[in-house]
Amino acid sequence: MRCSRCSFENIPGEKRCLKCGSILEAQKTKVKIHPPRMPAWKRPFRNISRCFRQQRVIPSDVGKIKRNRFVRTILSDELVGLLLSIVPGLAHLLNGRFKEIRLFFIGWLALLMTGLFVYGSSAGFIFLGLAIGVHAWIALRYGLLKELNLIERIVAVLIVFFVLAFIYRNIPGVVFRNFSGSFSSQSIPYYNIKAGDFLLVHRLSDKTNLARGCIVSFHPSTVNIHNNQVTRASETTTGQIIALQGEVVEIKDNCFVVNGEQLNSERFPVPNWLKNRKDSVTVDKDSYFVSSEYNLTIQGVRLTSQHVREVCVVKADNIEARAFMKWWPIWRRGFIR
Amino acid sequence: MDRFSQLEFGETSPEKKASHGEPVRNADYFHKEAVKYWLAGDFEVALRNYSRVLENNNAVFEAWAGQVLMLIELSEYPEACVWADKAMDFFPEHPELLALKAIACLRDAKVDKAIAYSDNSISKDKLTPRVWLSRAEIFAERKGSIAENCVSKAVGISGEQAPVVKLEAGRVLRRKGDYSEAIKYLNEALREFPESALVWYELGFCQAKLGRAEAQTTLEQCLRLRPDWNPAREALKRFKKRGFFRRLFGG
Repeated sequence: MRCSRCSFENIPGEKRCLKCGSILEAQKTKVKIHPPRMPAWKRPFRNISRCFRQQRVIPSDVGKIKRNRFVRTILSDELVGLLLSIVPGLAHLLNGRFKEIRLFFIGWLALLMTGLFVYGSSAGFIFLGLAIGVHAWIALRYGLLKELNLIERIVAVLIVFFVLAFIYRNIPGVVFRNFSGSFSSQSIPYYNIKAGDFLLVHRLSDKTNLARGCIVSFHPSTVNIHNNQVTRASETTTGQIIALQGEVVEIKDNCFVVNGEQLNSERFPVPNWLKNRKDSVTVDKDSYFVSSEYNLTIQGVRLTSQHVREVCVVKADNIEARAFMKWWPIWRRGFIR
Repeated sequence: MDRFSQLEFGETSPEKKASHGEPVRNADYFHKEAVKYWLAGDFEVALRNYSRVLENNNAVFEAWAGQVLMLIELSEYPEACVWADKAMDFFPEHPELLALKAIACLRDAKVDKAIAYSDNSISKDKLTPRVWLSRAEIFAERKGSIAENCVSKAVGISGEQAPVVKLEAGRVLRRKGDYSEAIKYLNEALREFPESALVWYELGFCQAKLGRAEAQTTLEQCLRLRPDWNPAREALKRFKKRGFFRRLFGG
């Protein structure tokens, strides 16, 4: 008898092939011919365990999990995949192909961390921009770009890039509601702060209890001097609290004098636009005298004490946050005590 | 076909004389039925028919392999492995059974095992197209053209089985995401099996993924052949509903 598998010529009457061991003819003994079947209740559990296994093995379409209809529909939708990609790699993780983008993910994380570490500098913005770019690439990495031509790819990447840039711009405000950042507008030698340094600020709940010397982030009042708008309420700036409510501030010999007591000029420096002036201002109730450069660029206009008062006396409600840390540059990084 | 013809009576079932014009219900008949149902994408019925083949003749290798394959199609991978082991009692170390086991392990996300079984299967003599197809599926995600080469080898040694192998090759390439190449094989398979809902579905799926307009006609043809098939219906619905983003991003 010839074996159908290996073509070996066996002795007639043999039940199995002598060469390969395959059966040669139907066995008379009862053989179980119905395969075991999976009970329906096991399916979801198996899917879950398979899903976990897929995260640590080669992720591929071939091992695609048979999910229930809803999840399958959701995950197969490219748009939903894009939405899930707001968290980089989430869509890939759910689709079991995270390993494909793990290097991009690590790259994104590294760029993001570096960007945050040097945030406040040009390099920081470049790193964050690159992180957004990598994020956009991760979002579009699988499937989306496969069938597009070059122009469509560029359009797709740009659309996703700008959407992500918008999200990156606004997420810190949602996630870290009480924290923000601001650039210092003036140098304060006592705190080792220079104009342009990036400061981290903490939003204030109680704005009536601020101490003298605090560096705060605030909305300056809108002031018009000879039809020339010098400060705008919409812009946020940083400044230092010089005098509290009810106190009288004088500027003499490039120093602040509060209620007749001269303040240390290193700790409470007079901004450039107030230097060589002699003014006296009484601070209103629920207001502070805040010293800042205010980005004043007025030339050929004579400022009066009234103007100084209008500019520097800030309502407590307009104060947003208090600076607690110098973030950039790194060599000046530290807490503001 | 009378209404009790599908009931199973085991060995006690009365011998039924074939009436004039009615096909003889032997192993061959059930094997053809199984293949027919597999091509229609009805894997559950195909599995039952393969069991009937074994009822008639338990030495038919294709029936054992078919059962394992149907279990894989039904996503019952551990059961497929168990049954492949059982089949190997009769056909020890058969490369096709090892290849099927490799596929079951792969789809069950046990890639290490899958590679081991595939390596084992490929080391045997007289390799079947399935061995190369399983290899292609396992290495589908690898860089280079390993998968394509394996598919070519499978088609090259397919001989009489060429249409079925081309269908399977198309399916492997579809899983890989190589839709254009899959369409080529599926079109060739379609020439041989114009009545196969499975081929139409696979073809329609690939066309839909490429965003081709003919996907709708293809999937509709599939539904004409098998109106109650949910995957085809969903694929068609998805294709019809695709909006701006899908058209922009493809798929």
